[in-house]
Amino acid sequence: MENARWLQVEELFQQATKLEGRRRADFLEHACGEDEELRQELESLLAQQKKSAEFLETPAVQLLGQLIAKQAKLEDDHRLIGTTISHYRVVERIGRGGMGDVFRAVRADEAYEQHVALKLISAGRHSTFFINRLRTERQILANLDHPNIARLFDGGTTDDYIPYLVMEYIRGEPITTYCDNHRLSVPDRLKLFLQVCSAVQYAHQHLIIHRDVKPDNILVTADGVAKLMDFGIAKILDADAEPGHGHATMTVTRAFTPAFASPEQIKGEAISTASDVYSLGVVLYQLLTGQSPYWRSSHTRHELAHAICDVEPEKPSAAVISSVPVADDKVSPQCVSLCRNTTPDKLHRTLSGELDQILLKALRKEPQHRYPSAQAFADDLQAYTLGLPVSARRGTFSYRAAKFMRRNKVGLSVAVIVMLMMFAGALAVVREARIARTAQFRAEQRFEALRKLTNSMLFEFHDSIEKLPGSTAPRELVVRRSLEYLEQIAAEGNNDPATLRDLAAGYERIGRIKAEEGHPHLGGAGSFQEAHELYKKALTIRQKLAAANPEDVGLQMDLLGTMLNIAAIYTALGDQDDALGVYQKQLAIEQRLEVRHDSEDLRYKTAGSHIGIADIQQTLGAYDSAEDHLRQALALNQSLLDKNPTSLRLLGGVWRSHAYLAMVLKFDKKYTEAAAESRRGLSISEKLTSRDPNDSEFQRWLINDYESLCASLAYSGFFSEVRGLCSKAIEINEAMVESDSNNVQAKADLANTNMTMGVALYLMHSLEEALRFEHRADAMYRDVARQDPDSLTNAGDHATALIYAARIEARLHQRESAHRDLEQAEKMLEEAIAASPKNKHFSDTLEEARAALKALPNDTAPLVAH
Amino acid sequence: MALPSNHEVTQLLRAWTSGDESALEKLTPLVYDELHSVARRCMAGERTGHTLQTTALVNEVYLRLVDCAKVNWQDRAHFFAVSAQLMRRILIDFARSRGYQKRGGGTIQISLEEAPLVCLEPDGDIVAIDRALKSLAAVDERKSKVVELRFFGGLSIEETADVLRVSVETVGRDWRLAKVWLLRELSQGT
Ligand SMILES: Nc1ncnc2c1ncn2[C@@H]1O[C@H](COP(=O)(O)OP(=O)(O)O)[C@@H](O)[C@H]1O
Ligand SMILES: [Mg+2]
Repeated sequence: MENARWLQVEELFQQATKLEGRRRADFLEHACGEDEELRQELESLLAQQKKSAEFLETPAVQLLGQLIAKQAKLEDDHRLIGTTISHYRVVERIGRGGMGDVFRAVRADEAYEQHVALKLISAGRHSTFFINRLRTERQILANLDHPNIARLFDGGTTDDYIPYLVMEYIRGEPITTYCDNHRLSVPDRLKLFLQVCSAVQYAHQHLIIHRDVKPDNILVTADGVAKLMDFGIAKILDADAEPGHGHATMTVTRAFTPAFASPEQIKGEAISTASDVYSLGVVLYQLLTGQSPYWRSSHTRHELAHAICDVEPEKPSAAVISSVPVADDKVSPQCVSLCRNTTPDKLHRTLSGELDQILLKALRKEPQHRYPSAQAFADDLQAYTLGLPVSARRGTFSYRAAKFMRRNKVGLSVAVIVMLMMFAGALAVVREARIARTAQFRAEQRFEALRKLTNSMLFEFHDSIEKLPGSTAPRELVVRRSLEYLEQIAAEGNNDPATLRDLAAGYERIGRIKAEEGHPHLGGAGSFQEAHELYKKALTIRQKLAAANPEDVGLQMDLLGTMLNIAAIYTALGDQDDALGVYQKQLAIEQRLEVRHDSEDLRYKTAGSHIGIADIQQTLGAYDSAEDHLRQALALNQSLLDKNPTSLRLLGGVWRSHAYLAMVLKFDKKYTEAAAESRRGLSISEKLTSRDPNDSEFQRWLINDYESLCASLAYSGFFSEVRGLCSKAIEINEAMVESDSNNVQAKADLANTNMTMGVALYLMHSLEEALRFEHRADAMYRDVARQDPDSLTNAGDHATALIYAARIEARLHQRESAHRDLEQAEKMLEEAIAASPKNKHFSDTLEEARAALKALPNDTAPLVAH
Repeated sequence: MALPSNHEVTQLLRAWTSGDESALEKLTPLVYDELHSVARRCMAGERTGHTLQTTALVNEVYLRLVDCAKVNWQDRAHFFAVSAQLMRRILIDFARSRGYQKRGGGTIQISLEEAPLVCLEPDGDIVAIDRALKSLAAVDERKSKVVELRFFGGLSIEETADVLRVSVETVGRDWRLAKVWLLRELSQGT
């Protein structure tokens, strides 16, 4: 090619590489014009671009070194074939993986010939590391007995001290190949895949994480039985793992296969059973779509890692129809559907909807958003095949769509049924353990397994659904059921600290479910008495444990946590003195501990005590002191957050400090300062809700901030933003109530936002409109009172709404209604004061009600409008 | 086989550049030594992706030479250029002698499945790459030099820019185009 021409090619090539898709095509069109030859030259070069990323990046000497290594290995194989190891004669190599060579061998000294698989560490890998891994694999396999897991027969050490495993020989193909060769339809593939889930679930129940689930490690026999193998990097869960941390374990150094690894494995973060769920997801994605979830962007290792960690996979249903122009590594839709005995269109339709959702849920980047177990994954697939609703749809709903939640509650119930089924399994363990004990057969270990399972219900499962709207009832069910088992374990005489600790945590969690229905500030709605009883049970256990182990900071912290909950209940019940008493004890413990064990956790708890004290003081009208405590809490939380800026808990602490400050300042009539605090809170809650729109907790924060900002602005006469803020709060709140009609808290919140809107409109002189909102609030408070008759907060708020309604009615000459409302408010407040005599808000509001009653004109003649 | 001393290396390289083919034979063990240490690392299961660039060899020899002080080489750049050329020669000879090249259409390549952790994605047929590189030299001499320095010499983009006395951007552009050009050439199965 002549020089000028080449320069032209080069220049255009460099420009074209900067463009993509349509724009590149346009560019070429424009640049080449009629010059067909030039265009071909450029296109043929550009077509190589994808492939070229890794090409030549490894230096030649490296490549050749690898080839030499390979050659050496082949020679090594040769050395082994025909030799006898223990009783087994080595016949041929059938596989090679990350650490081992697997040979087919026959048992030579038997009358019949038994074929076995012999796994040895590859030549050149005889490091302690691999030797230990093989030993672990042997130990793991020895405990597993499942139809879908390759069985271990024997194990030993060669004359050269190399350990080996003898396993059931599986004549089969990797699951993906098997499915394609047999042209299995989607339902058949699902059936096969369920076998794999059952193997993984079985391993999890035996406290083993596989960590390398991928098609090469799943062989399917000619009879269609799937066999999971290669526990070479599997991990036995630590029996002493911190409860609440799930079953976390760090990734080992032996590399897993990146294409099937979970984001946490790629990032080297703690991995858990959810990591296997992820890998199962990748396998199923391949089985159903014939391609990797990352096919779009996985040409180099770096891109692959990026895709795994940050790029949302394409919907399976879309992946089977999209055909991309430059796709040398992508199978055509026709080919994919043919292997599944169908057409692209039909395959697309089959995958659309539930299967899309199920897969995307298994492939969520955050472990806590995936299925909590292989079983849950399998159950959703089963539900799909049976035409039942699946739970996966739940997590993907944005909050805006929360109104559809009603329909999907069925989905949540499925998840709960799944958990209960796991319990049924657990029950069998208990029974087995009883039999086992009579047989003197390591019963403790069985109990330990059960305890762990229960623990995972209490913590992992409960926590994973905790924040979903609509989860109140299922959560309670799950926790109660776990408690029954824990009580059973305790009754069996297994009073070890770990069981007791879980038991206390269980009581506390139900207590929290009950108490949570309370108001974030004053406490109120919800079954506080019940929560109180549960917390007291937890407290008794915690106190015992803490007293028996005074040096165990963890137990002391647990105790503090329970005390905090109890204090909050006292506050909610209006027992200010009791609450203050608990807080003071708490601060004392914290100060004692801080001397020796200064920690984030402790400081965070201290901040919590300050907020608690402030909360009580504001009900007593001691606003200055409350403000003082809140500023201390804010300073503590803020400095902790500065050191640990990604901590959600600490961000919550900062938010809470601002929110309480806003409230106290508002009560103290310092509206400008209050508005400023609300805005600070708002900057946090807005950020959190936009990041995680499904989180009902953050939604509540947001509602609270809008509402309190709106009130402070209205009181100080700045009306411009008021309507917008309040409408937003109401809109979010209504969706929330609609999605979970059992959530009393959401209803109480909604009543409040309506009241505030009414008050704001009243201050803006839109009387009729204001009255409509107050009436709406009134109706909602009544509704809340029906569900939760003992709530003092609700009574107080309700009375306030009635007083505002009456004021507006008086202005609108509806004297009778005004009179009736005020009398009702008076009565409610008198009752509230009887229950909580020191509450300043109640007495202030009562005074207001009485003053308003007096001010009502006696004559029925219409007043002159203002 | 004893490795040549620093002084000898200098002499040998100079001899070789001025056309003395017998010098090559004496330099070969130096490269083989590196080759086998890579192989050993691979077999021990060490992860040796391309993060472990093999400027090591070239650099190490260079440093030894610089220590010698008596070096007559104009500069480091020239040394690198010669070393890359040397490595290319020796490695290709080695590959040929071992039959690591296309035979009747089949390429010896370690597939990804077989070596997921050992070593990553070898590009297989080095002999074919060498041949394609000669064709590239006819079209664009500098681009073929870039490939020689990077792929055979193991130099980084920056070092390559130094040797060729052009900007880093230019090397980047050359590298990008050279790779696709070579791939196309290889796919046409010459
Ligand atoms: N029990 C077996 N029966 C038949 N083939 C097996 C068996 N175990 C392993 N293999 C084959 O050997 C390959 C490597 O074995 P594997 O246990 O995965 O080793 P590694 O831990 O090195 O990855 C597997 O992918 C499979 O093809
Ligand atoms: Mg394997």
